[in-house]
Amino acid sequence: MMKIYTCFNCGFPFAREEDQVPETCPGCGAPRSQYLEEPWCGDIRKRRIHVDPMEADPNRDPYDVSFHIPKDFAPQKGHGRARKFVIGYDRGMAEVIRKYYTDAFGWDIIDAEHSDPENPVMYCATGPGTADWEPWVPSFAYGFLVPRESGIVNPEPSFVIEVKSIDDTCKKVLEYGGKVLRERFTFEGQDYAVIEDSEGNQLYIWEVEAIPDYCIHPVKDTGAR
Amino acid sequence: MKSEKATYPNPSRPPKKFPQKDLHGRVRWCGLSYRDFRRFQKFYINIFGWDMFEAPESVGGEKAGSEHPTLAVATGPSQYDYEGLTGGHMLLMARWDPSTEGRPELPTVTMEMHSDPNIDPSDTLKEIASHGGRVLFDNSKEPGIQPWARAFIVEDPCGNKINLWKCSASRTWDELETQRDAEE
Repeated sequence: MMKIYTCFNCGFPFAREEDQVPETCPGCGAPRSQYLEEPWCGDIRKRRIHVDPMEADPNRDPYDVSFHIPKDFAPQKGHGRARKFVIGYDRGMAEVIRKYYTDAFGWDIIDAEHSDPENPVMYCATGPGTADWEPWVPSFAYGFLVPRESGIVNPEPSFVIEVKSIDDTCKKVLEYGGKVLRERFTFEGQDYAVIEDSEGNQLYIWEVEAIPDYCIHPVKDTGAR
Repeated sequence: MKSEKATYPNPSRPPKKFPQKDLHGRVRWCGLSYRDFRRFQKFYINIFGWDMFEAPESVGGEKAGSEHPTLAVATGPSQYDYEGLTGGHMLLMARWDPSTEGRPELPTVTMEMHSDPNIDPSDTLKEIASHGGRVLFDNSKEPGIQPWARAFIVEDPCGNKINLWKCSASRTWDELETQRDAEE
């Protein structure tokens, strides 16, 4: 008999036949003893059991990765957020790669202002944007298609992470076993650097001067603490 | 005479209006790999303040309490299900890569495919091939693959490997993603 199970630990609801109930919650991995059950009503959206998010523990060990309410990032003012992607293309292939991502994936692509028209840096919108082309729904990214260049470190594919200070971040990168692969450089009026983490991942960091609006006007309280 | 500015930033034209309720082509996840779990944690928690959450076995393939878990990572403000809370804030996944020789692969890009269940992924794969891309991996024929877990790895004409995820139809463009997938 089909039932709806809602995990008391994380609030995740799922419908299963009684003999096909997973041993651990598909949302958080909690054991079966944490499931609350109710009869199947024909539509999981019409279920009646809903679990409030757990209370945040202000003294939580940040190294503990068991299920918890996400940290409230607002006081960080934009430091550390993964923001944009970088994908490379071979010089001379600009139109091929533009057509590929436009036709097969529907991206909206424009060239960056000061780049080489033959091998432009392309700014790519992968979903709905605002008037300044920043994304306006959460959980997705805009990014750049960049021509590959020899002689400098240009990791791709890779990602751009916002930081408050490139200098301070680079110092800490060294302290925690990473490397600075490319010192501060300016592209389109913005300052970037390239780092490698302690595990070998190569990432861009981007110094964001203005405090992002979301830090001043949080979208709404969704339970994150 | 007023000239039309075609370049970023501040181009004369607005961004494309993307169709409602089709997440096709949206770049969704950044993927990192690690070799030493505690070293990885120290680096990102101390430098960037990231918040890490062990992904359940159904997502990460690692059992609860594993010494090298697959991680869902909030890099900025997130909701209780670790989806981003602000536009342009990406989800990030980190996986254990046990290779000790050489370097791990560079960070990976994960993109969503059509969420419309009426659009067959094979149509997208044909489109990719017709533009010079190729499919390197397809999990849809593996036994036990859930409808929400269909995934592909494709290579673009310049050799970039991109993960593709055929995400669930109940995701929308407009809402914060607190609503669970209806088919789950």
